[in-house]
Amino acid sequence: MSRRYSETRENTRRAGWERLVLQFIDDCATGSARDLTYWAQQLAYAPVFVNAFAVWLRENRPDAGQTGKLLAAIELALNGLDALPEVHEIDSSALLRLARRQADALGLRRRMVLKSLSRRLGRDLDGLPMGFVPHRMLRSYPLIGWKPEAELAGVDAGRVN
Amino acid sequence: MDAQRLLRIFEQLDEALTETTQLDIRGGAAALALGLTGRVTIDIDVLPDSRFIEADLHMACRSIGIGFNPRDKDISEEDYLEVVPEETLVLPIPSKDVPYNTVFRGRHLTVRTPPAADLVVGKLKRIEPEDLTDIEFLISKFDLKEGDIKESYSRLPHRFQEDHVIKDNLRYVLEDFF
Repeated sequence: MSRRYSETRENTRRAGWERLVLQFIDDCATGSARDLTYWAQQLAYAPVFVNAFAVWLRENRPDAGQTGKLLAAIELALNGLDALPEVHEIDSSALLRLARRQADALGLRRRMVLKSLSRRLGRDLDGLPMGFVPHRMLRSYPLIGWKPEAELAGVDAGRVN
Repeated sequence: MDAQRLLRIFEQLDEALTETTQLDIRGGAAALALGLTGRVTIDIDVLPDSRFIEADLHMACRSIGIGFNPRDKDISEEDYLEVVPEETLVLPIPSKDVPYNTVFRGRHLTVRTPPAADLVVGKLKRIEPEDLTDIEFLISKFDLKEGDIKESYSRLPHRFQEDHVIKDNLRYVLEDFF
């Protein structure tokens, strides 16, 4: 009896992650720069979302049009792990927040995971040159944490990026 | 529970227990105890080879307000401790060459986790997004190499080594993280 209940809870959580991944794919398809930036930050810095996408990608293949957009998000995510830029119009606390996000992600070898995902989508980003974090990645969006249902509640309520 | 709450639970259990107890834990609680920040979990998975007196542990859990082997895990709102049933356990056979990690030592209670590579291999049957994040953390924190994972895999009971899901998940983990 308890096993069945447990699987129900796990299935609900997994369905939550899948809904978020599908939202990611839909948002990337629109081509909105803001959406792309939001999801690139989830891929680069959020603790679990990139792995939810990896799990989804094992069982699903996006079409050619989607693949290009997803690769763009992955490339931007990798750019988000590059060096902090010297910009004067942003306060140092924003740079510190970004640095902390980078440290958490790099501590989990996030670059390696992102490159592996890009290979799975048909493009090798191993040779991507290191540069500075793009300006649009300097605005920090809230990150999806460990509970997909919390983020979905925001989506259902009309999340504003 | 988060890492801080987990430590508090260990401290409270240590005070509440009357018998010498050694709990070997796995899963999300093990990742928390080993230092993964930000994660939360509701259960503490205890390996069946742990050394404890069930009545004593049950009473200690009850006295500090956490569940013990709850029947309805899916609707449990409180944190709980669960002794993992032997038949659902996917874990390499322990080796003297790779000792367990002690993560808490009190007067009555000691808490350990299997070696990091064993924890990774123990997650290969059911890889959820959260499990992959635990695996990322364990590989980075303990600087695990591909050979460590393969050595641990070689200590799995034979029936699990031949399990297609586990084999496939091993391939993905090696591809993604090494």
